[in-house]
Amino acid sequence: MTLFRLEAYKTFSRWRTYISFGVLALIVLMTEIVMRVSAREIIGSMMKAFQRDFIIAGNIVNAWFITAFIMNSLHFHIPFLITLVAGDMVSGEATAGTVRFLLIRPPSRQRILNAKYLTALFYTAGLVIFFAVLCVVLGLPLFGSGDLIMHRLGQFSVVFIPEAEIPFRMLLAFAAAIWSMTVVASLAFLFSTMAENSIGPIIGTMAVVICFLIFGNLPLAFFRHLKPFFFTTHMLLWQGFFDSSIRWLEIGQSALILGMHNAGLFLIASIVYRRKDIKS
Amino acid sequence: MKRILVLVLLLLLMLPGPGVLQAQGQGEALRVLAALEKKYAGLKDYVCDIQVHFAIETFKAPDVQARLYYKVPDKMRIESKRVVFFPRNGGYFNPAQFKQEEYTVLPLGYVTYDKRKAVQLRLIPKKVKGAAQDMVLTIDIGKLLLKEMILSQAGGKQVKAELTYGTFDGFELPTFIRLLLDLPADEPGMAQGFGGLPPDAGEAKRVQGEIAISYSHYQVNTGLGDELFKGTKSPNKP
Repeated sequence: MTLFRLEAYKTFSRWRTYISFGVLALIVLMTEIVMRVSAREIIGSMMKAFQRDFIIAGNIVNAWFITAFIMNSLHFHIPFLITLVAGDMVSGEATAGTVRFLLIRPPSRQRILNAKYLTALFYTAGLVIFFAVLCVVLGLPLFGSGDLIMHRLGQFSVVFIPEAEIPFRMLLAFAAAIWSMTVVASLAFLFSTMAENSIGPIIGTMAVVICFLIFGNLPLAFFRHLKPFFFTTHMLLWQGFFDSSIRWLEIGQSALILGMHNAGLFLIASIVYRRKDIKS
Repeated sequence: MKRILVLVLLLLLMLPGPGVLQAQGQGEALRVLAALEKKYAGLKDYVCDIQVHFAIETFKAPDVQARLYYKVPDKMRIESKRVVFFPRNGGYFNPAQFKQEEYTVLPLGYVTYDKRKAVQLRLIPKKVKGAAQDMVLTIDIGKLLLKEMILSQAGGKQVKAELTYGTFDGFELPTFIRLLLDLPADEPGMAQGFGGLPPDAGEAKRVQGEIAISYSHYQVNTGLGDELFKGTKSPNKP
């Protein structure tokens, strides 16, 4: 616990840790302001097909809708912000030349690695929570509250979530979002144990995320068979909380697969780090 | 024998030809439509409370209450604290929408509807407005009431509206409209991007369902101002 506290202190005392929070704040702020200004246009483009058949009355572009809307871009920008810190967790010591100093101290390599990994996860959770709080705190005064309306892309299908149910579902959705983002953190962390500088893990993690996103969306039978095993397929598990009835089974399966990814990646990271030669 | 032949010939000449029959049917159709228009000529506006119930598999919406404002010829407004998806076509009663000059009216024949004689008319709009509509109306001839309306739209959409009436301030207005929808499940023009849930692979090719709308607490001809409808487009203009 002391090691974790020390690692967390080290991480959060670096100014670059806050770049991600700043970028995220900017993204949310800009998106919400633009959406406030062009709410009618958003409804027009998003509900175009429904507007042909229905007159839509009431506050559809509310804080919850905006939050869900921004959350949909989660798997694009948040992974990058996570890698900035998670990718630097171990390799940062090598860059700073403090590896040997760190590893000659009494705590074992595994304990040090555990503390660093927990810090990476803590940072990931903090970033998603910050994102959630910002979306809601900015969104409520700007857009007000109301029922959450979700539609399935390209289909005549709409889900209404009553306002009373939304805070609970949002809480679960963000918890799921944290869980999905921990895989990105684990991946960056693994690359960080392999590298001597932070650029490699950051670029490597993003490359893997982008590749898997592309593979998962390619309309080829080969990738269609593999898609259920890609972590990027399950990263949107939070969307299951915004269906008419919560898809617990699917969410549970996705959470399990993501958990297995986390465990696997951390296990490899542990093996790599314990075998790491720091003398040369 | 010659006399008989002349008589038969004269009788045959006296029988109306198919063109004459069609013209008579057309005339009857226009007369019924004109009578319906005249019946509601005094209706300038109305306000009522509505309750909308959706029974569509892919459209999970709770029952909602709202207030509906209507003013001739096609102004309509819905007010609600909650989000309401209100059917644009067939969801509210607009007697001013069947103006003869805007449609080519084709008589389809007489039917028995609710044990009463009714006429079926097909209305084809002369000018395409929004989703082009071809309407088939079933009008109770005796009561001069629009009992059923089948709307066919571009993209293979079909909406059937069944109307039940009550009398309010001397006007027969709907107390209940049952809409039966038959729509394509996939909407190529629907939103793309980040704003929605991923498509469900198991969805049906067509969506069929029902929307039931109850109308109550009518207030008729209260003199609604145009400013009430500012910012709301005509329901026929998506």
